[in-house]
Amino acid sequence: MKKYILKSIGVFAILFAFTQMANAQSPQKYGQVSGSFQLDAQLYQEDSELGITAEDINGQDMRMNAFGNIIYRLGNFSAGVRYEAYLPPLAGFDTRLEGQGFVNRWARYSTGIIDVTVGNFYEQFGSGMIFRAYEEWSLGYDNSVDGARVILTPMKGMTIKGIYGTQRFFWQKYEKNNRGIVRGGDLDLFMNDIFSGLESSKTKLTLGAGLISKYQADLDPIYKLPENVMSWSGRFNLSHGGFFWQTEYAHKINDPNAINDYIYKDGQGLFSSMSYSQKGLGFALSAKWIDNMGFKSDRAVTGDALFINFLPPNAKTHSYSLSAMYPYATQVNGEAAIQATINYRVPKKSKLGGKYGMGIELNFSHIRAIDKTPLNDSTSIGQSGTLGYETKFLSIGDDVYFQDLGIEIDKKINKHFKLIVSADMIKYNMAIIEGHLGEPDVDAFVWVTDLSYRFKRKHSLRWELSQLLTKQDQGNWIASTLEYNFAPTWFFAISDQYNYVNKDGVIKYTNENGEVHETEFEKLHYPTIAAGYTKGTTRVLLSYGRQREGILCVGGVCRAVPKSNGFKITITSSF
Amino acid sequence: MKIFKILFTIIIASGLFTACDKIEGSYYESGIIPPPTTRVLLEDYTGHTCVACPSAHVIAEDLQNTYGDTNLIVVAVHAGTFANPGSSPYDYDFTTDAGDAYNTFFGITSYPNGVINRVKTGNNYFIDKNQWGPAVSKLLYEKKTMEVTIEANGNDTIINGSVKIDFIEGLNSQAKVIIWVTEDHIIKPQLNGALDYEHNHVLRGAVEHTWGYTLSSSTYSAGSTTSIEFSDYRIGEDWVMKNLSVVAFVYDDETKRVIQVNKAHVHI
Repeated sequence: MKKYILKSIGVFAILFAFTQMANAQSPQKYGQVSGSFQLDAQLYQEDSELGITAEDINGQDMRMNAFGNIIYRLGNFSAGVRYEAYLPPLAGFDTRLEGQGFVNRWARYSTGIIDVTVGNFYEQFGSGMIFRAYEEWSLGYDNSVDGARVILTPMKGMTIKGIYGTQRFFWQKYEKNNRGIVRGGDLDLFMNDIFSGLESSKTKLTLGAGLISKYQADLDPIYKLPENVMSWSGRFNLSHGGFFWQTEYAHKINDPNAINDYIYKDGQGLFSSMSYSQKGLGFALSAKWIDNMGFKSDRAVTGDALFINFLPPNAKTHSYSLSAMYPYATQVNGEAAIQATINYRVPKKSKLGGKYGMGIELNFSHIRAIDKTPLNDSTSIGQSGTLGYETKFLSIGDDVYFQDLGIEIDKKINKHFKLIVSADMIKYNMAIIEGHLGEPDVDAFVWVTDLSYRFKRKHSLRWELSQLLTKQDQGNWIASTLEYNFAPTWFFAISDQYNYVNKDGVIKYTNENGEVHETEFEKLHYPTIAAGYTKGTTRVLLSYGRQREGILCVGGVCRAVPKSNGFKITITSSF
Repeated sequence: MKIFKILFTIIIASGLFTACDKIEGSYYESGIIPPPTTRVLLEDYTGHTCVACPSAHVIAEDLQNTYGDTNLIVVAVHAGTFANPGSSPYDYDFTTDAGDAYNTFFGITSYPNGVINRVKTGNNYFIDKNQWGPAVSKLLYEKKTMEVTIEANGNDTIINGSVKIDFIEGLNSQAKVIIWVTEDHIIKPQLNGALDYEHNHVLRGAVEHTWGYTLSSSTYSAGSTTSIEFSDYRIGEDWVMKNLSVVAFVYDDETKRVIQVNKAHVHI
């Protein structure tokens, strides 16, 4: 390990020397170095009202996540390293991240026909349903592949990709049989370039297909496990003017694993998304149906690590804090989802649009279970060591997992004022999404008003007020933020989220066994103050206050955010 | 044409990535299961009016048939909503003070549910019946760090005995020993089972302490031995002595994780 760090520091020093030379002399001759950096650190405090004791903090009152990326480019050659440190990781991140070192190092060479990467790389086939290696800092998610990737362009319009390697699993180095090996290939054909007759056509068509196979030894004493699991997909993208339609079908052969409780059923999925846009009007419709599509390079691992594939989300990602309180997490064992979004811009100088026009967005998403029936009378649905269950392709089950119906309107009122209002009705199946068996569904209504006031050139104030109403979970919330911006350098904000529950502070529900559950909540405030400073590509953000317990999701992949109180700093920079 | 040549090459080359093993017929590695290296305790949290519980009893029995009932020690803990005595024919009281205490401590509210070696998976000690197989198979092949030997003698309505612990490896944390009495072949009704359902390895009670005897030292060197004697444990009025067993296990006091378990029939 020590040797590895020293080696990496060596690489870093050489790269640094190159930068100096590059700055001093001609960049074409010595190449260019770029990089980015982020540090998130928090000082945790005890808070008796939130129930955070010294025992919870356990002496680790200071925590930090940080990374630095350095990329060097010279002509067709590029190389990079990524350093990460979690000392220890911020609360809510996987504790297995604890450690520091160079997690990522790669070199890449590309000419017109061939593009080769060795080391760590990120890649995606189609929409990602069979393969997507990516990184999401805010989730602590990184399933990069360490190995080799070759991208060939044998003719115009044709791209062939081949990948071979093992995936990142926190800090654990790959050793024989400690996880699987991933290999695969993908073909992408842009028909308009391949067939000369279509070159000038307004209709554009791309066809694609991919294959991924995972190898993992069968060391299980009970089950006969498939050592090679293959997944394949076929797809098309079609566009004509403002119209766009993409569809992908994916299939995976028997892959008994810890996520599907070791059932031997094949998995399959279909994702289709269509959109149309013209001046002032946009429309998008997407649908997804998946069955048993959890695909990892270690069949025994649960949680977010080592996913080979990614199932695109069909729910709106909210940016206002109360609207984002109940986000949807993709259910890889089966879900049927649709989402529709309409954007309309009411023209300027119309009766409704006024002087500046007005934007309206309507969004609807609805996600349900798929219909699973038992194989026979003596086998329960999902029983390990069986085919699990039966389901018809595109079947829809009775259980609703999630629904969000929302509207957002933005309007510039005059030279100084801009207003955004939104309202969402959310249904959230807590038992399924959070795994809290027996908890009732949450029905929440959230409204937000966001008013910006520009009172001087570069000076503006923003006031946000929102409320969440629900009879379940922790009851009602109200939140407000006041922000002062002095563009582009400074910003200050003060905010509070108040969990006022309801009049008597008691949430009551009756479970399926007829038992009445009553939980008394303390009505709590979550105040925060924050300040930020930006100069060039560097930004420093400081905040102090309480953080409510919740769930953070990016693209349907989620992590829990525990409640906390303390001082937080974020620094980001790039060059 | 160039494109067809390239596509043909790709189709041939894609053979490289198509490795896949389709498992047909039995999904089990019959006959080649290696002998487990240690023993595992499976606590089956159950109840006589719980409709899904008999299916968990079957899973536990299958696992015992696979690994041997001397390696996988199953104890049926009747606790919670579905275990409470109700109206006839489900009026028998299977619950125990110890079982109620564990049920509360492990936070079990849905049944059936299992606790395997009292190991936490994520934030929970309990684990769904469909995941018992993978969990048990993993723990049975862990390294054996101590041996537990039980001696139990029944005399009229009294059980006396001892639990001996041999440390194969040293121990450097405070451990405790829980001793239970269990009973087989209790014929009582079970919902979704039968009116004359055979209840096996039912927890009848903990000897002396619900959370066990504390070992006199928190450090033991490899090769050392210690033992706990118990006497005058009075059995219940309707218990059948010849169907009774003693289950004893050593666990880490901080993590609650079971280090070793064993079971012995009560000698008459």
